[in-house]
Amino acid sequence: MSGRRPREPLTARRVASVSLVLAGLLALALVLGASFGAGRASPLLFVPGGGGPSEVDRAVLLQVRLPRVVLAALLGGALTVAGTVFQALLRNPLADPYVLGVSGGASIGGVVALAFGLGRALGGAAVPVLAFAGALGSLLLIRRVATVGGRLTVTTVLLTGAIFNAFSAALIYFIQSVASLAQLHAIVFYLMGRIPSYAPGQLALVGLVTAAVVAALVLMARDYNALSLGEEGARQMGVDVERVKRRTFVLGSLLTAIAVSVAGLIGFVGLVVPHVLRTVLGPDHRLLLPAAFLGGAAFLVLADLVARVLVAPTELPVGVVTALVGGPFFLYLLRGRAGDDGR
Amino acid sequence: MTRRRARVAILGGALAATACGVERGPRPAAANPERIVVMAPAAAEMLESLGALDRVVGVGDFVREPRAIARLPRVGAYDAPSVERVLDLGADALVTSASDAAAPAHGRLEALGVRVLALDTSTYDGVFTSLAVLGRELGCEAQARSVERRIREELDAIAAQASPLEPRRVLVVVGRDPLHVAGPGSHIDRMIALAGGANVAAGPLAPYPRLSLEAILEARPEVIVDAADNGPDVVRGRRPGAWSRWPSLPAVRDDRVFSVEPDRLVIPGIRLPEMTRLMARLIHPEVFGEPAPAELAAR
Repeated sequence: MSGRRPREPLTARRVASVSLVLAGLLALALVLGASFGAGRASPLLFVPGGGGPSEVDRAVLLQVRLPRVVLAALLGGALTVAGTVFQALLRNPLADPYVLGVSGGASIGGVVALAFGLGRALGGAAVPVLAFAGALGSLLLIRRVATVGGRLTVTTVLLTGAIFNAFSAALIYFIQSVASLAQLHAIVFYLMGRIPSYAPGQLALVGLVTAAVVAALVLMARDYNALSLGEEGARQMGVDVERVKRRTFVLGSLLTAIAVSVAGLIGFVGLVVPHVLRTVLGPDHRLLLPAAFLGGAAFLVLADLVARVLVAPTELPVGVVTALVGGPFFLYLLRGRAGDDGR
Repeated sequence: MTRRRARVAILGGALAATACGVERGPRPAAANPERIVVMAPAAAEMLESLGALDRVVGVGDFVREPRAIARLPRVGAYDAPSVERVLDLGADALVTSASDAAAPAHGRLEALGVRVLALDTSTYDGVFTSLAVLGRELGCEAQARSVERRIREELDAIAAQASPLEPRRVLVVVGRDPLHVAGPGSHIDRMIALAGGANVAAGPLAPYPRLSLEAILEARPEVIVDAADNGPDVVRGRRPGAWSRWPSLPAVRDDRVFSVEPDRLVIPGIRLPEMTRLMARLIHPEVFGEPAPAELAAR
């Protein structure tokens, strides 16, 4: 899984320059995202001499489009960082943010809220709040089940996650089967994933929590590098492997919980973007983790832009775009790597 | 007797004595079903208007009215009828809505000798065609024509009253998060036009498209009919609800946002005149009268 490039010594300068390039890319994505949409409103209206925005332009740009673009960036970054650390933790290239089963718990929470007609309760926050509660509940449950003899073993974690996800899917199908038609509508589209336009306060909350968790994970970058030598190797290098595993499990799951409870299941971001970045930048997590946040953010902003404008004034679920672009690209990458390795 | 029941009585009851009881002359068995299972609310109302409820022996899960048949044995959802239960009831006809999901079950029932009448009641024309089909199959053709005539007369009267009025831009919301609205080709679109409105969801769109919030804000609807919520405790009436977040919208500014029980608008059938009149009240209350709270709430 770790890249085929020879490990070149990583300098602070390289981290800074790569981060700068990716930050520039993200900035470009944000500008593009804010510039286009189903509405005609454009940021150019706000530039002096741009004609001045009408009240509607103001609402479209500042209350609908901009919050959505920013949220897409946060969630794209969160999902990609979660995918990156899970791939490192489990040393499994198929790991993605949903592999540990937390998304299943979040989906159950959200779907239950919708099935009981709570879509508008708590000022519209009932669905994300219950989804987050479901995610935390499943996190604790899975952690307990997957801890054997005080240790998290990779195989048990993977199997527990897979089983819990299957169980959640069955439970959701059950709820769907007995839900009313209007609730079914809400449930289906919730599960498809969409990025809402949050009010500034909600946006700030998501941003702060995401930033804190991502920062905590970036600080463990050296431990992930050590883990790529295997658990025994990492232990010999003085890494407290069990602690790293526990923290990664919890923090990565938190990022996933935030993303799923806010936006439903958006696939492929957390699977494909880490692989692409690892192929391009090499396996060093001190570089990879900041890059994952910036790159994932830019990717989801652009994917959501496509979802918003491709069939405007209708919209596509953003997960459709990430999968349609991400799927083939991932296969292409996989074929290329297999060729390189002479397999 | 509720307003709706009264209306059905006007539409159907006047002729019920004459035509469509079970005691008609002999007919070929296939065209003369005596034991009907009805799966869809709109189809049940049509049977009522034809005076054929006494032949109904079972209902689909969504059929809660008319009361006379609501307590009959249930045979599953309209898109997933239980073949076994339909056969258990000794049914010779299944009156339902067209459904791809139910097509295999319909085929099996037909093969077993149950006549399946899968009606398309999703448009105005579909309603009239369905009435004609039911009239023919049940041997109530004269009555079906009479019901159709009354519906057309009422619709013409509303249209005549609305056509001189300045059309208002109307948005009808049928699903929230993401927003789904009534678009071109839906019966609601036709209803808006008849009632003196202009649907803001126009152009190359599906009948019930998912519409971007940006596009809705820029279309500046003057009337918003929000039929997306169907929770039991939703307050109906003239109230901005979640739309108050967008004070720049003419509909919000001028207090023309209405929360309406979906049932009142989204199930077309013989209640089309009633629905169209309600739509006219929502769009031009100054001409058609302020909609009464009871008209907007669950029936």
